[in-house]
Amino acid sequence: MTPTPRVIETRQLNKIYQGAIDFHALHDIDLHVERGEMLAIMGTSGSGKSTLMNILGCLDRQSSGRFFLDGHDVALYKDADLAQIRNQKIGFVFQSFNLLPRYSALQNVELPLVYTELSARKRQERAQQALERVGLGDRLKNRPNELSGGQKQRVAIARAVVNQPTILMADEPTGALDTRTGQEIMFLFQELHAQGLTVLMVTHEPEVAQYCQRIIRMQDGRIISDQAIEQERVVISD
Amino acid sequence: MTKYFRMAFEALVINKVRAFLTTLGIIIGVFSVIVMIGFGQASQAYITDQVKGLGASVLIVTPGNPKAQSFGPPGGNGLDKIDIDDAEALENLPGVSFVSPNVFIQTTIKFGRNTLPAAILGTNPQMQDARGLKVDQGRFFSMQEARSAAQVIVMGHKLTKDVFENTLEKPLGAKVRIGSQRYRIIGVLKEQGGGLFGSVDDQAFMPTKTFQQTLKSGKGLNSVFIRVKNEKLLSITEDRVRQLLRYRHNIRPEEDDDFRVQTQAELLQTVGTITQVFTFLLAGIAAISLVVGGIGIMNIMLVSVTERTREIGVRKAVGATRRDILIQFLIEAATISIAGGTIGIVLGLGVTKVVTQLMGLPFVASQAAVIGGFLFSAGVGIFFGIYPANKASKLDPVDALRYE
Repeated sequence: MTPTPRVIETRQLNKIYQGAIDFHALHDIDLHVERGEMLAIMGTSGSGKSTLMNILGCLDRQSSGRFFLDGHDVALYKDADLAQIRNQKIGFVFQSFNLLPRYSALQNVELPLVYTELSARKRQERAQQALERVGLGDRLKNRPNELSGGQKQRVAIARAVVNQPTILMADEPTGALDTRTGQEIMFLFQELHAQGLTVLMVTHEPEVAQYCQRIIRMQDGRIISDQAIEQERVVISD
Repeated sequence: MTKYFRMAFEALVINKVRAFLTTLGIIIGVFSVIVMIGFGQASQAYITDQVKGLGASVLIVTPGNPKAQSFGPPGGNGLDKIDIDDAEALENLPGVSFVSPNVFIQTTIKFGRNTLPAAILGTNPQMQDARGLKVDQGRFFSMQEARSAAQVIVMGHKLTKDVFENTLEKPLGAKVRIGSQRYRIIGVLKEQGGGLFGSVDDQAFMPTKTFQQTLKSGKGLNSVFIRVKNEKLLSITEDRVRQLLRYRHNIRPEEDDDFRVQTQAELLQTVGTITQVFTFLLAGIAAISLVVGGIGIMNIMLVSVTERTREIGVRKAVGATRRDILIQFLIEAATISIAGGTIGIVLGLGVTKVVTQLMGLPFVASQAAVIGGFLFSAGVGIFFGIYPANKASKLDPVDALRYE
């Protein structure tokens, strides 16, 4: 009997940016993420946390070492296969939302589905459901400039989960939001996590990391600590 | 596939003015190609009609060795090789119905204070029918006037109008001056429209004998037109004409002809070749503007790729492959050029139709030009779209997402 593989497993992952002086962005990263975990990667800017996430999110490739996603060696995949993995298994949320300005909320959420075989009608249906899931069922036709920051991030989250990925990756998801809105977004992440998603986020704010079960701290391209934390689940009172 | 077209359409609608201006380059290119080909073909159809109007049982003799003949209208070189005496001798050949010696000069025609450039043709009365000339006022000159070298002239419609502009004089019976001589107008032709090599409306006709005695000394002819009694006699008469002329010109057996005998079919071919070369030349020049339009597409697509770097990053992050991005931008470029091509074709055909009608030329809607114009414009879009699209598809998603 084979155990279900870990969602993410890396062995001595290195990333070196070549240039006049080679920059060693990641140093021998060994990281395991189990299915259904919710973890935060913390560190100052330049600590390598974003580089790590880009590799884990299949946007970038490592220079050396191995990275298994769902038990498969990612190094063996071609670029087109990586695109499919980003499409099917990974959902991304960015600090600056990265919504397409001329598209409506619905069209933005539909975007990942455009690169699947789904029919136009099915795409719309799924996108609408995803928007309803993040509480924006009444904002389908609005364009990003007609939405508040929190709403924009909700649209981005809907886009990330519309194709039912296994992992949700967020890079400073609350970085562009005020505290209150940031909290709401974190509650939304917790909700999605409770529904079974593996959530991995990069942040430099300890308050945000508190919402996760596990915190990995990085410095100068190395993991310096990896601790599980006591979950203090905040309940929205009003 | 439809989703790519929808994406392309959405992207273009966002920048309406820019898309329109880019399209304009292609519109102008395709438009000029279509118009040039349209005019070329209209002229060709007109000239072909005229040559066909001569009838199938004709021979045209022009001076000059066919092998030595350079590009240009037939009869352009080696004048004096065929003269009026040759024409008279040809008249006596068996099977010949009539012979018309033709001469031509480009000069000016004067009446009162008006001086106008005109092509003067010396010809035979029988040529009226052969060339399908219709008289509006008065009459064409008679055989008798031709023999007696009467100083009479039959003028084209537009020429008459221009010569008598701002005068109270009636053209018929008036005397116009060419050089130092005066000629009485005995007929004015109906308006007939023109072709690539000039219109009957701008020409004037007089007997060959009159022409040679008053306008241009010498016996040389530009061409001799021979009508054969029966189409079956065409080839045998052609041989007889050749033999007679070789004999009269003292050409030894090993020497080449110093003249050329053509049947209507051969003449059609010659004329067809000339107009075709002309048409292709014009269309080729017009096609250059289409290429310039293509460069416009490439330019604007490159700008667009830079502006939309983030969009490309997002698309890649959510699962677009390189191929997806490549196709998206290629189709965008192709949409611009195909839209421009279609508009250019419609405008081009419309303008050609209106202008050919105004000029009295036949309108020929060339299917090949339409299909060719369409495919060429689509090809231009795709060709000039490849570089920007490829650039877009190669963007690194991490860099693209970080792009400000």
